[in-house]
Amino acid sequence: MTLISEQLSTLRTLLNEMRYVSHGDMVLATDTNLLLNFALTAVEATKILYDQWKYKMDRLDPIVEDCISTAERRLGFMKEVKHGDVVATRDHNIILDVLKLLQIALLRMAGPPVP
Amino acid sequence: MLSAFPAKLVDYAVLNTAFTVELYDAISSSDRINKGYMKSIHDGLRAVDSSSVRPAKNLTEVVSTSDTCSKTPVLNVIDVIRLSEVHKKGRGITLFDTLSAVDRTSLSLLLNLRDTFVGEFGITRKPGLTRHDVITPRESISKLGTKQLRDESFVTDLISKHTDKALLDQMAAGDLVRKVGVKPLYDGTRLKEIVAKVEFSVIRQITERLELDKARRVYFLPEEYRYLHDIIMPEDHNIKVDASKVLLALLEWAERKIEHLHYPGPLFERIGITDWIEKVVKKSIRDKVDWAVDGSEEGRGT
Repeated sequence: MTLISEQLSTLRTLLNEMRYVSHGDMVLATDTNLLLNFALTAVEATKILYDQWKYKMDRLDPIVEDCISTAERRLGFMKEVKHGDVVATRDHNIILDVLKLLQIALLRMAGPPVP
Repeated sequence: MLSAFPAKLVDYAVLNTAFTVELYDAISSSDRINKGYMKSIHDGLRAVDSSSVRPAKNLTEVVSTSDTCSKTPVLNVIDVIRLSEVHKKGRGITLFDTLSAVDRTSLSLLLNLRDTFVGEFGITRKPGLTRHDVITPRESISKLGTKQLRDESFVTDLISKHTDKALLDQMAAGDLVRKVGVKPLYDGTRLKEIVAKVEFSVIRQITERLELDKARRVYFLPEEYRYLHDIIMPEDHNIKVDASKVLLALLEWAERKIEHLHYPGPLFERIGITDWIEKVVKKSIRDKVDWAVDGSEEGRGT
């Protein structure tokens, strides 16, 4: 199993390569590919954290499992783009969906207790 | 009415009355009602409801039930207990090696030892001696008559009343309300009230700045709705970059939280939460940050 520190290091590297855009900037293939790779790595990191959480808590959380599996399935619909490809609305929406699912999973595992 | 000796497997219901010895290798039932007067040993017990009354001795190695009610005047030893609710009344000794419960209510008159207690709510009332090596409930309400020992305790809310003596090695609580009648002793106690509040604050700020609620989905519209002009705007891309940065901060937070999940007392010392806020979170969240630390607003990187 890959160490969580390696996954986080990969995520930091990907984040450093991302850029903010404004009107008039060209849409580059790397913009979409970096976000895709970030989401894929974040899902793997969340899976590792969930394994650790399961081991320590000695129980399962079906919501977290559902979020992780759904995120994986959504990412399966995406693929890396190349120069000249059309950036579809799907490429944008899937990334948003995955980030939301990971947020729910991480907050259930490590967020403050719900009153 | 059934009598079991020495190995018995019961599937659905057990109504048992024995006067000498009961030995169960495995019990799986929906309802279990048991009365014993001398000795009862259970290797494994899985039941939806379990009720037992014993005046002599009760040994249970593994108990997994949704509800259990037991009354033991003398001795009660449970190695592992997992259940949603525990209602227990004991007048002798209660030993829990591991206890994982959502709700727990126990009344003991003499001695209660728990190595590990993990539950959302723990309510204990004991006039004798209580020792918690590790206690991690969401709420703990305890009323003790004489003495209380806790090596580590991490609770959101703690309300305790002591009339004689309280020893706390480590304590981390969100809200701590304590009334001590005679003498409290703190052996290196570090109240992490402020740090616990920082945790809530950090998580709240992280989640508020995920900004995913502001993010919008983009739809490919057919020709007749072309005038709506729904395309991916630069702001949509920037929000995803912001959300990715904050999600990384959330992952780093979760890594540290899970790493020290069972040892929340020294957690804040090890990770150095103040440094972590400065170095990781604050760097990661560069957009529209209104930190309580300095109240400054930083500009977005380009």
